[in-house]
Amino acid sequence: MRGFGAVFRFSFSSKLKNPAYWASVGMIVGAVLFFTNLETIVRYFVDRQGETVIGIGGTPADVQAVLSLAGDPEMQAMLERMHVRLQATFGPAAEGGKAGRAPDAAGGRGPEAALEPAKAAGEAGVASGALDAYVEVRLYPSGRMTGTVLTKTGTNASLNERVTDVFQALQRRLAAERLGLGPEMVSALVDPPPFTYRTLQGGEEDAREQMGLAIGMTYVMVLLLYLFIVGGAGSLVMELIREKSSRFIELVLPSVSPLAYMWAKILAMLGVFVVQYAAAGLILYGVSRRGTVTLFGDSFDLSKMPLDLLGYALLLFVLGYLFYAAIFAAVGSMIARVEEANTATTPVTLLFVLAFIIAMWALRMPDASFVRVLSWLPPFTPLLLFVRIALGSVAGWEIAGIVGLLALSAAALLAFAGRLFRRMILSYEPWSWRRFWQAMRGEASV
Amino acid sequence: MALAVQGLKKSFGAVRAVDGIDFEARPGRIFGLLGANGAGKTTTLRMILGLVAPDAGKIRWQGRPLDEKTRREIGYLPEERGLDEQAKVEEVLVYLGTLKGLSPREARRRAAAWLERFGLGAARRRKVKTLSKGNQQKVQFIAAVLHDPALVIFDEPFSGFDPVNVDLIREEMQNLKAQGKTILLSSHRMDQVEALVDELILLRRGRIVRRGTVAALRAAVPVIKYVLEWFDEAEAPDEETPAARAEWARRAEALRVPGVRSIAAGRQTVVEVEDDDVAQVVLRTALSLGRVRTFARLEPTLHELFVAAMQEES
Repeated sequence: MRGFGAVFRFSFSSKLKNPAYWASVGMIVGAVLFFTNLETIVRYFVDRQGETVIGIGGTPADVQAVLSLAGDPEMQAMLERMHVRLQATFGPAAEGGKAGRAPDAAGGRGPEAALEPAKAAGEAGVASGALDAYVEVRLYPSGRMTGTVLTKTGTNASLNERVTDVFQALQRRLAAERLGLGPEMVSALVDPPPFTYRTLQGGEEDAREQMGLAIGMTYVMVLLLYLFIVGGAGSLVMELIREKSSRFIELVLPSVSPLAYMWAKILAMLGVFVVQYAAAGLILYGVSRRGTVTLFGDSFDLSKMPLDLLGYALLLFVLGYLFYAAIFAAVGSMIARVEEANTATTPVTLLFVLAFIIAMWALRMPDASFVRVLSWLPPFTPLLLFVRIALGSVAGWEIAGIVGLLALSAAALLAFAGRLFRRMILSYEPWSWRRFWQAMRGEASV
Repeated sequence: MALAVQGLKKSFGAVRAVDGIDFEARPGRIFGLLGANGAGKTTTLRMILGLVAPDAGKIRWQGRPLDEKTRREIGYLPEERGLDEQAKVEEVLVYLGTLKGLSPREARRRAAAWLERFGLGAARRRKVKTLSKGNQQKVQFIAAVLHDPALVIFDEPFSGFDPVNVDLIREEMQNLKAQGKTILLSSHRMDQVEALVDELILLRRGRIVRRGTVAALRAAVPVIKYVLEWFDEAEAPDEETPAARAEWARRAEALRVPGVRSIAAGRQTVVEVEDDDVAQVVLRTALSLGRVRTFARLEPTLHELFVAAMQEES
């Protein structure tokens, strides 16, 4: 392994001296903070988007009933929280000289024509922007409500959702009144039972809170694992192609064996990414010490990350990177042009994207049988085993077995990549899967 | 202390790139591998450098097979130049120097000295990509010789250099030769290497078609040519008039003495003779026709030798 140290030092230090490298640390921190605070960020903008005005039309009795329900202190509080204001809407003039007056057919029993002026006014209000939505509501003796919701466009799902929430609450209150149910009975009918969740592992903390915290942390770690492995292995390929396409490699390889060169590049990239993520982790740790980072509506403190979990993450970082780096190094040794890189690496990247998607599902069902089976397959192990360890129940022997299998696979792939690398690193022929297959079978070489 | 190559062969699929090459390059001499593009020069050099595995043959340096350790004694300037353009000049040189076994400190010291010598002292901390192409070539040359190699391989060393830098590199190569280095030089530009190489092999389709010194190759050519110019012809107006052409033809006819093989008449007349004695007769005849300004034996250029060899082979 003569020359290994020189190649490692140069590759490692030249990356660390690159300002773009440190800019990417900032981007990682930014990305993690953005995704983990997404809900807070969305809420921030929702809170500042102003009041939603919903016009209410219908018979005077129905409109009056709705406004009366909305006047209840509990409903008032809810509407304020949602930044919603309800406003009765009547037409300017009706046939028969009833200008400005509400139609006198109450309870939804009057002719439809009597509602037309109010409907026209609602439409005009929505069109002008004075109203965000106009709801023509009809109440039934049972307390059930029906109606038509008019909005400017059909794509504002958030507004429709808000209208539904308001009227669901109003309907519930109306029904409770008609049935003579008290608030506790209503709560018993519609609210989930207020259980306190405890586990044998947990201490005094609420288990649901623990679960939210664990899912949040796991989500962050899976995201980082994914970015780390894809980024590290991808950088390795680009580094190899850059040195090949510039022919710089021809100055290096007379003095260092291809195998030493490959190992130096793989480990230098690993070092570069470990430093990068350690720097990002320290910044995130500092941020989380100052305040909590929110995720999925739960609050958690990154500084409370269990150390053993961090250790597993690091182990899976390294083994996962080595597994994918071996594949990428083998592929990269046969590519001499940057434009061929995507064609050659996409299938491997897609495999890992698939692992990431499955890991996202696995966050909510870490002990599902498909997660358990797939976590044994080395391409999926880094992400799925981490999810299982963090959120599920996995025996020690199983962890040892899966990690051992991943380590063995990575070692076998590295040995294979080394042989291919030695033969193909100075090949400048265009990339093709056929040639890759020939090279794997030892039928192609420089 | 020589580089010895014996029976070297290499094929790429059905193409035989190198087909049984033998030569020995000795210290203090410049050995040329000359040939057209695709003759097998670069493949031969790459096999010596260990970049390509030979199918057959032996390569020995100082009597021993070349290995990773001994290859560190080789300096290499590749045909297709490339440096890490993102790195700084000094960093690249120190990196390549340490790969050859220098300590980083020594590599830095030598890099600084070479950069000063090539007028690039101020560019030490600049990124390679900010240098002009000519200066990048100089940095690459420095990378090849930084570790004071005993064997230096130059593959098309003048490609990409302007005439001023060509002279600079030639001078440096002569310096290396004077220091006793073994120098291997590959080129398809015969005119640029003619004055440099001490010995050479001419390659065609992976095989050696001629070998020896330039003088020996010339001596082997059975054609003796002289160039002749009279004062009145040299001083005549440049314009090529019918009268001038008639006069050249008349004098050429007068020169056709026994032993003259051919005459190319013109402002400068080229006479091909059987031997140098016939040339003396030609000179005397020329003097009888007017005042002779130039009468000189024409040595065939390396390019002409190469073309003649290629024609003979084909």
